[in-house]
Amino acid sequence: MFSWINNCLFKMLWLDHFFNWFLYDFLNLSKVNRWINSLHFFLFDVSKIFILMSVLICLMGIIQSYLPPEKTKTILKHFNGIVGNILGACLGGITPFCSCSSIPIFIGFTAGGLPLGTTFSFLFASPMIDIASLILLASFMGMKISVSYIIVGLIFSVIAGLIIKNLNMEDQVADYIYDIHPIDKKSGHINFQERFLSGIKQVKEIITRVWIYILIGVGIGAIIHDWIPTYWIQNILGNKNPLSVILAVLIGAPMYSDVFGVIPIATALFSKGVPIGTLISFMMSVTMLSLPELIMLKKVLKNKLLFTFIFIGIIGIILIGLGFNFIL
Amino acid sequence: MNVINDKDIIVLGTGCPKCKKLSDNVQKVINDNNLKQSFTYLTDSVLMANLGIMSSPALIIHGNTVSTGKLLTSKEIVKLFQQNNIL
Repeated sequence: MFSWINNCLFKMLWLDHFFNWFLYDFLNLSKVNRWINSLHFFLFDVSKIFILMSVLICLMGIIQSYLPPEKTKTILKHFNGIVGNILGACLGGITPFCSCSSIPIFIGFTAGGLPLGTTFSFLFASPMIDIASLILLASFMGMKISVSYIIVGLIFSVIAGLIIKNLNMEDQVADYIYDIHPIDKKSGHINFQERFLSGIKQVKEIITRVWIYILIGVGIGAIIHDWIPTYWIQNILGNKNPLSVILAVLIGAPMYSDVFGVIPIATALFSKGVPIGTLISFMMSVTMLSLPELIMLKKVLKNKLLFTFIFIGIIGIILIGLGFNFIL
Repeated sequence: MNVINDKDIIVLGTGCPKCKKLSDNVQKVINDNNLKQSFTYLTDSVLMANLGIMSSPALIIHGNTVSTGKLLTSKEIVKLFQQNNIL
């Protein structure tokens, strides 16, 4: 039963069979031609991504309509200590992330009395973990990698938040924030139809924003898949190179891409034998450390805390990558 | 917080593209309907925080926050205007 669900919904074998039929039987194209194989990869990947994205984003949009930031803040206010960090990370993982929201959320949480550690657990988890894109990841690279990414991402966010809490850097938050006394804004009531429509709207918004990245990402993936020799990739990023994780993080950190755009690249690298730890590090560094978010955070954090945030992020991601490569 | 009562319609944001786009959409609705109400686009995170707003952009009409975190379409803006006696 599980393998049926896995094959049908995640791997979309039926879609793969359709393009096999369309290209090799219907159009009678050559099965050994590299260009055709790349085309197959491209068409299959792009279709799969768009179908999965539409369904998942809509579902997530509906779930997220039950958890606006105001409600998240109210929930987190009731929990201190490590439970606060765990909940902060989990809610961060479920909540959609937009770097423009980092400031209002940070100010809202901090001025609203949430411990700094809890807020940071949320801030680490939110850009890194996006349920819709990670179910997508499962469809390309299997449940093992996707679940590992989520669990490790959450654990990392909790630990990072605890570290920041214990560094007692409350004075490293911009001073004006403690002068803010936000009113507790209650979210209005919305019926299910409105929630569903907001899910659909989110699908349109996100697809409009990321479709080009998907095409580029899949295009690059197709090139890696069919054109770049396996040993090239393996030599640079494969197990033989002990610095592969650090290299993956250094390449990924300055990149600003939606998670959706990175997944096809990661998938192609995966198919070329790049170790899972290296891939997870790469994906985390692309999503967690984004220049727009850091520019926004500079307005609410003093330099010491900002650099601590970046430092913990980089070291944590490298350790995660090395850990995975060592264990697996 | 008198500034939110200075203008009839305010788009409040953090300066990101989404906020600017909402401001453009609102301006378009105002122009298309020849509305006389005053409108401004503010980028003020402190004001947002004081108002308890945690998702940008926000649309404020006659001092009331009517929408947060959404890039409203012209149709949605018109509906909100109608509900708040602008149209």
